Amino acid sequence: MSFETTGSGPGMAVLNFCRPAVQPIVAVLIATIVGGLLVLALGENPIEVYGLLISGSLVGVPNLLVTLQMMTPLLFTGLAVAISFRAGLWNIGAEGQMLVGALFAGVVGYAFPMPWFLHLPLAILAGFVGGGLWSAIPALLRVYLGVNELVVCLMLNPIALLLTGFFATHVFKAPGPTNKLPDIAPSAALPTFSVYSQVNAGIFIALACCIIFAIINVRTVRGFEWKIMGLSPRFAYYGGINVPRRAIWVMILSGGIAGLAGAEQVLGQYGAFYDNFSPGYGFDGIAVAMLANFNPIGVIVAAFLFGALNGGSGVLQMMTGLSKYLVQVLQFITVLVLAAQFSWDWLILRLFPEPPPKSPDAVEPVNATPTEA
Amino acid sequence: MPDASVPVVSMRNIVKRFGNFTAIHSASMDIRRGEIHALVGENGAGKSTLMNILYGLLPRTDGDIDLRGEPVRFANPKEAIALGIGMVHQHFKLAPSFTVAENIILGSEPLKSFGRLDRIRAERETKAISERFGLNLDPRAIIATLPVGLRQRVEILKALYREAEILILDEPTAVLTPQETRELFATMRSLADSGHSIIFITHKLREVLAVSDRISVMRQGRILSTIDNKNVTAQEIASLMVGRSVLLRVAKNEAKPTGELLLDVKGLTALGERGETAVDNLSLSVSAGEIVGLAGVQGNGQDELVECIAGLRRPVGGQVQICGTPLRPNPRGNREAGLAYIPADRGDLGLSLESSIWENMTVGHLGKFKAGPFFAATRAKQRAAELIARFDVRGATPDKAAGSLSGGNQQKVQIARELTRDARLIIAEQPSQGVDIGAIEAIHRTLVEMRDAGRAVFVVSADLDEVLSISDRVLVIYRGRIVANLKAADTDAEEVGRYMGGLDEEPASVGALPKETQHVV
Amino acid sequence: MSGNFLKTGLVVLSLLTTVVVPAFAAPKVAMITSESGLGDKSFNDMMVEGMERAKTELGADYVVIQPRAISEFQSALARAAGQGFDIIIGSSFDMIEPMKAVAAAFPDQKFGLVDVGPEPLGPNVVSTVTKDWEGSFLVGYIAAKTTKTGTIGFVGGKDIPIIHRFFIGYYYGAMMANPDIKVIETYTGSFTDPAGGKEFTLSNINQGADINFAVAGPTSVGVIEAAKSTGTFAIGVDSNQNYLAPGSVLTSMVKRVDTQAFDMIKSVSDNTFAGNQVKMYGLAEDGVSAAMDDNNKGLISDAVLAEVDTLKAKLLSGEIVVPNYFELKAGQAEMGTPPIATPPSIATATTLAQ
Repeated sequence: MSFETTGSGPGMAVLNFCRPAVQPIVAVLIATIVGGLLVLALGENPIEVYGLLISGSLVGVPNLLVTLQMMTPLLFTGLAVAISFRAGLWNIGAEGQMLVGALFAGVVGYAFPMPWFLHLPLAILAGFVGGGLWSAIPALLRVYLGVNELVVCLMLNPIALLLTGFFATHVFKAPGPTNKLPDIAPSAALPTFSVYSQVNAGIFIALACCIIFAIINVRTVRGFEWKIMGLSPRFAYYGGINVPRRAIWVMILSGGIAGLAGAEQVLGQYGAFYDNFSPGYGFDGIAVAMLANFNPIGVIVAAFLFGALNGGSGVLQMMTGLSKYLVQVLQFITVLVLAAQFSWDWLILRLFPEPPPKSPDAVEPVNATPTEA
Repeated sequence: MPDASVPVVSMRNIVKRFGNFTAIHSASMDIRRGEIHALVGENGAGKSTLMNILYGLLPRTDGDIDLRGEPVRFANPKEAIALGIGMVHQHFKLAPSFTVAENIILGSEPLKSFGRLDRIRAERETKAISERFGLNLDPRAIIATLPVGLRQRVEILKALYREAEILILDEPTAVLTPQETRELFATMRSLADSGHSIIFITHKLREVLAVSDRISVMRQGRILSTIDNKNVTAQEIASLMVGRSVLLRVAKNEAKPTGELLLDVKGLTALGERGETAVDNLSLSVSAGEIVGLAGVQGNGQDELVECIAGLRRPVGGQVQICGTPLRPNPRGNREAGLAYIPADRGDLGLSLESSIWENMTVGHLGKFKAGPFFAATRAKQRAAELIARFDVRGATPDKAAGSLSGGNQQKVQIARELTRDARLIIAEQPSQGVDIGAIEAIHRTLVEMRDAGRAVFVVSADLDEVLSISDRVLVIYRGRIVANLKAADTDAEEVGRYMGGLDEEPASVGALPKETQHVV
Repeated sequence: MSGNFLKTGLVVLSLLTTVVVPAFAAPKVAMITSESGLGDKSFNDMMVEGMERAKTELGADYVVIQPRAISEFQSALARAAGQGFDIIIGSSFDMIEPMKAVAAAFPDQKFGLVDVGPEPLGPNVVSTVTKDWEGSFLVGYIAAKTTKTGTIGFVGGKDIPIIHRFFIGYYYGAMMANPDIKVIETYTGSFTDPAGGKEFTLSNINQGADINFAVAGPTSVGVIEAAKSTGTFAIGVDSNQNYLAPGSVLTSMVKRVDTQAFDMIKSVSDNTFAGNQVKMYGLAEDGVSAAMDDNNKGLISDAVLAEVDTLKAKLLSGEIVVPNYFELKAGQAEMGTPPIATPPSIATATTLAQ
C-alpha cells in the first residue's frame, strides 16, 4: 500500500475525501488553542476545562442525551443554512423561519386536537409550512425584484421575533405570567426519552433530513443544479438551468427545514410555543453550516460538536466557576477562524490572480503549420 | 535642461510571461518629450500589459527600461509615480463620496502639524493646478456628482498633482461622449505642448490619426513598428493592427448553404450597460450549412447582439428566430430551440471554474443523465472522460476543477460541451481566444465539420484572421449595425479592416484635426 | 504497572478524603438561573446576592448554572441532581414543570424554587410565594406619604387578576397612609410597550399623579421615562429598578428572592428543610421590601422610613392584614384589617376575574 502521487488511487481517494474537512478541523484546533489561552488567563487549567467539556458532553448517558438535545435544533438550522448557501442563496434568516415555524406548529399543536397519527405529522408539517412561507418572502423579493436576500433575511429575523411574540402575548396567550401559547395536546407531542434531557423523536427527523439532503445533493438532478447555481449562477443560467425557479424553491425548502427546528422545539422540547424561546439556534446554524462546509453529513458532525460544547458547558459551569460564555467564545472563535480562512482565500485570489496553473501539460504542442495568406 | 535627443522613456526588448503564456515578446518603444504617442492594437495585443510594466504594476520578465537615460525597475506604482510617471486606468480609481480635492490629494495629503489634513491648502492647490492646465474643476465638487468626462479629468489632475511628466492614458475615450473626447484631446495637446509626454492606448484608428504625433502598433505581444503620424493612412494602420503575416486558412470545401435560416435576426435593437443603443435595428441571418463570421472592433455591439440571441439580454425591439422558433427570454428556452453557444467569457459565463470538468461538461446535457429525479453521475463522468479524449483536453481528468486547466483547454471543455449538444445553430464567440495555434486548427476543423453536417455556424471574433479563415461569409458590425456582407473568398483583411474602422465612406484626412474630432466615436 | 498503582492510590486517597469530610459540612448549592442569565439586574443577580450571603454567613459553597433556554432547564436540573449538592435552587416560573419532573426522579435530592405559585411541587421541593401585595402595600404607603399633590397613580401592564393584586395592596397602603388620597388606576394593555407606558403615565401625571407605580414588565421603562421627563416619581417593581433613572425612581417594590434563597440554604444547613412546602414571603419575612440605595437617597423622608418598621411589626402581629385580591368578592365594600373601603373597581364590580 502506498499513496500514489498522481491520479485516483485509493490513497488519493482518501485524501480527496478528507480535504474538505481540513479547514474546519484547523478552525476547531485554532479555536481550541485560543480558548485554552483564554482559560489560562482566567486562572483555570485548560486541560481540566477541556476534559470537563468532553466528559460533560460525551461521557455517560445523561450527558450524551443532553448533547443530543442541544444538537437537534442545530441539525435543522444548520441543514437549512447549508442547503441555501450551497445553492448560492444567503439565507441567514433561519432564526426567523424557525420562530414562525414554531408558532405554526404550536398553534396546530394545541388548537386542533385529533388522533396522534394525524396530529403529530400535521403539526410538524405546519412548522415546515410556517418556515417555508417566511423564507418565501426573501426568495420572491430576490427573484422578482432583485432585492438582496441576505438583507431581507436579516431584517425578517427581528420581525419574526416580534410577530410571533405578538401572537404569544396578545392572540393565543395561555393564562399565566409567561408569554406562551397553551400547551400542545399530547397527541402532537414528539416523545422524549429521559428525565435528563428533552431530546425527542425530532432528532430522528433531523438526521433523516440530513441524510435525505445528502442523497439529494449527490444523487439527484436538483442537487447537481443547486451546486452549479451556488458556484456559478451565471453559468448555471446560461447552461439552461431554471435558476430563478430553483432559487425560490431552495429558499422555501431551506426555510421549511428551519421551520422544522421550530416544530421540534415546540412539540418536543417545550410542549408549547414560548415567546422568544430561541437562544439563537438559527444563527448558530450559520456557524454549523460553515463548519460543515455546507455538506449535510458535515452538518451532523458540526451540530454534534456545537451540541457537545453547549452540553458540556452545563457540567463545566457546575464543576468550575467558569460561565457559559466560555463555550460561546469557543464557538465564536471557530466561526471567526473559518471566516478568516474564507477571506484569506479571497485575498490570495485578489492579490495573485496570475499566473495560470503551471502544470507541465498545460500548453499544447504546435502541430499545425501556419500558412501565409 | 533635458537633452531633447534622449527619449524620456526607452523600453527595450521587454518580455512578459505569465507562467507558460508569453504576453509580451520583446517589445521596444521610445517616448519623446512633449509627444503624444499612440499605442494601438487589437484587444489582447498586450498594450495594457506593456504599460502596466512601465507603471510598475507588473514586473517584467526580461528587458530594460530607461527613464531620462537612467535604467529603472519599479517594484510598484509608487516608485513610478515618484519618478514622474502617471497612469489613468480605464476604470477610474476614485472615491465617489469624496470631493475632487480630497481625491486628488489622496495618498499624498498636505498635512498641518500633528498630521492634520490641510484641507484649505489641498483645495487651493487643486484649484491652482486645474487652472494651470486649463482643466476647469471645482475642488469641492463630490466625485459621484460629476459626469464621466470630469472624473477622468480628476484622474489626470491626480497624476499631474504628483508631478507626472509621462502620462499613460489607457483607452481614455472608451467611456467618453464625442464632446468629452474633443475636450480630452485638447487637454492632451496642451499638456504635450507644456512638455509632458502622453502615451495614449486605444484601438480606435480615427482618434489615433486625430491626436497623436507618433504611433506604435502592437500585435500579439510585439511592437511591429513606430511611425510618424504623417502621410500615414488609416488603412495602413489597420493592416498593421489586424496583421497580414500569420493568416490561418482552414482547409474546407465550398459552403453549401441550404437556405434554411437557422438564425434569423430582423431589426434587432438592444441597449448596452449604460443605456446606449448598442445594437441598432440590426438584421442578419445564418443558413444551415454555412459559417458566417462577424467581424468588428470590440464594443460595436457584438456582445449585446450575442447576449440577445442567447437569451441573456432583453432586446428592446426586433425579432429573432432560432431554428424557426421565436426568441425566448431565457437561455433555457433558446437552447431547447436548438442553440449551442460558446461564450467568450469562459470564466464567468461559459464555465464554472470551481466546478469539476465533468460537471462543466454535464450542464446543458442533464436530460441525458436523468432517471426520474435521480442523476446518473457515474455515466456523466464516463461521458466527460470520453469527451476529454475526443476533444484532446490536455491535463484533464473528469474530477479536476475546470479552473485548473490552461485557457486553451478550458476553451476545449466548453466547445466539447456545446458542440456535442444536439443543436443546429452554433454561436462561437472568440472561439480561439487564448488557444494556441494547434488547438485553433482543431477547433476550426470541428466548426467546419459542423457546417458540413448541415448546421449553421455563427462566429464572432475580434481576430480578423480567424474570421477570414473560417467564415464562408463575413459580416462587419460597426456601431451596432451590419455595414458589410462579404463573401470571405472575395475579400481581404484590408477591406474588412476598413469597414471595421467605419472608414468606408470617409477616408481619413490626416492633419484635419478639428474636422476629424467631430466624428470621433 | 506503576501508573496503575498510582491511579489506584489516588482513588483510595480520594475515597478517604470523602469519608473524612464531616457530616455537617458547609452546604453545597447549585443555583440554576432563568434563561436571561446573570447580569439581568433582576432575579438572577439578586439570587446570587442570596448565595453570597449564604457563603458569608453559613460558609456555603455555590455554583451558578446558566441555561440558555427554557428547554434546557430540565437537563440542567437533572444533571445537577445527585451530584452532591445539598440543594438545587431555581428562579423561574418556567422551571415549575421541569423541577417537578426532576424532583420526582431524584427523591433524595432537595430542591428549591423561589417566587412561584401556591401549589406544592413535591416532597423534596420547597417553594415560595412572594406576597407582592404586601410589598405593594408598602410602596403605596410610602407614595401616599410622599406625594405633594395628594394624587398617586398605578400603571399596570394588563388588566388581569395578578396585576390587580398589586393594585389592591398599593391602594390599601395609600389609604392607610392618607384616607383622602386619590389613586388613579390605569392599565396599558401590554407588558412590552414602553411607549404606551409613557403615554399612560403622562396622562396620569396630567391628572395630578406625581408618583406612579409601574407594574408592567418592560412597559415600566416607559413609566420611568415619563417620570424623568416631567420631574415626577416612578416606583419600580420586582427587582431594584432605582438605577434606571436615579432621582426619578422613588423606590422599587422588590421581591426579595435573595432572602428566599438564603432561607432555603439555611434550612438544609440546620436540617430544618421540609419538602412539599410553600412558604409565604411578605413584609414581615423580609420577602418584599422598598429598595433603598444611592440612587434614591433622600427622596423619601426619614420619618416615613421609620414608619416602615412599625408597619412590619404590625403585619407580624396580625394587627394589619393586607387584602389579597384573590380573596376579595365582587361588590365587597371593605377589605383588610383594619378595614378600609374597597376601590370602585371592586365595590361596583358584579364579578371578579380570578
